[in-house]
Amino acid sequence: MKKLIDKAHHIKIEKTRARKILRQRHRRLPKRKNKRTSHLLSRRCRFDLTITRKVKGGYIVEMPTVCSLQHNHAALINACAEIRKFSKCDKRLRAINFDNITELEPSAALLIAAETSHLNDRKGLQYMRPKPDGWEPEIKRLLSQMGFFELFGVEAPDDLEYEHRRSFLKFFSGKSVTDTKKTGELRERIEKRFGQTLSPRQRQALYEGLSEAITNTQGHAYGSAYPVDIDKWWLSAAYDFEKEVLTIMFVDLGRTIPGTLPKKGWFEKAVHKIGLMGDGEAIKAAMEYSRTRTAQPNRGKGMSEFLHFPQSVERTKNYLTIYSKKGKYTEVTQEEKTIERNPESMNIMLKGTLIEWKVSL
Amino acid sequence: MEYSIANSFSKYPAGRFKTDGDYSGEHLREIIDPMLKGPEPVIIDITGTEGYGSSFLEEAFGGLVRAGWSLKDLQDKLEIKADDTTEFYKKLIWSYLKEESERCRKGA
Repeated sequence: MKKLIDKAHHIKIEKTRARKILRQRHRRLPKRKNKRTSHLLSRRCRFDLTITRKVKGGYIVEMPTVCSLQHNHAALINACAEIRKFSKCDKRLRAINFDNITELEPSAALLIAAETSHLNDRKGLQYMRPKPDGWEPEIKRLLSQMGFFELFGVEAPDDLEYEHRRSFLKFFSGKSVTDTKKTGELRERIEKRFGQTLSPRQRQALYEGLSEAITNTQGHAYGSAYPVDIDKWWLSAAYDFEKEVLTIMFVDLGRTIPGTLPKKGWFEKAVHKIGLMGDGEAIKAAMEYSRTRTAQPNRGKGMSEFLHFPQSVERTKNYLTIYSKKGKYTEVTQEEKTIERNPESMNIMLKGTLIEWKVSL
Repeated sequence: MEYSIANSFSKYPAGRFKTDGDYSGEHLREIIDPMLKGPEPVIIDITGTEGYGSSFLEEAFGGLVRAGWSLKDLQDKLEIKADDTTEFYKKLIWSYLKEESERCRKGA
């Protein structure tokens, strides 16, 4: 409860901080009209939670204080969307500011890494150098573990603290289904770094979920039917040593599940068209057996395989959460059975799909 | 004739079609299909891999029925070799074969 209150407090601080910065900036605006216009480019974002500001020679994207899809969804997605914009336009992103981060969830870290990695592929990160002096020590360590410094082509600082309660793994990325061997490397790294040996069934279940997620990127997210300019997926894991919770995350930045799912029958089409069927419900529908874009009877078995890994871990409650477009879908499993299904619709759209497995080992 | 997926194909089989990657279900089906045309029974060893996705198994084995093999012929000629940890994949493969055979029989 105390943690929840703390998190709510963080978000409140976040909003207040963003408003304060905006007020100061508006006060500093020069009077001449043309300069004013250029300053306005460093505009406020839709929800005042993420700010892209103009500096000499480019722009800086400010990351929110609480980087969490669960507790600060809008701000985080906004920040990631801001990074994506720079991969498509001529404007130069000088830096991503991590100074304000006090809370960093594994999935959020992977999402930021994916967007940064995509920006690197499209435009290179040669103008950007991380300045970790102002980062929180814990955040510096986690971002370093996730592979951020290597992404920027610089060495990780040597003042990292290694007394920790949680640990991230360096992300893997791949382009095609042939890269599924990286899922085996991830599993080996999980066992080596976190000291957790998965049972043969857990290994298989993990592979089933991940290989289907990768196959889906090829067939749906980056499928040839609607070409997109991205073709990679990203994968990582984290372990909380106190709670003994393993989190595995997979992200693609292509077309979303609600965006590619066909609607069954005239009623569902009409309901979706007038906005009564949210994206969370659409993900839930996609999880149902035999619901696929291809509409072939032998297809559409894959998404239910995402559940195999949480179902293979018997202890306590385990979670599968999927974020795609504006949808969030959580399925809670216990003793190999689903005990809860929660489809939700969010305010901000994630341009891609993030799958998160959270299991207690 | 025995064929080990882990040793001769891939430890990380995945994907449905060739367009998905080098070790897809369609690739494996194209290896198994000519073997079945030979005189000897075919033993497919499914042990030793990291695991199998359903789309891989469905395309590799369910696809044999779509390619013209009858369930009875496959029951006569095809043997799936599994151990304790892969026994349920063996059951899954036969369920895909039965499902696809049923679907073909109904003309779906």
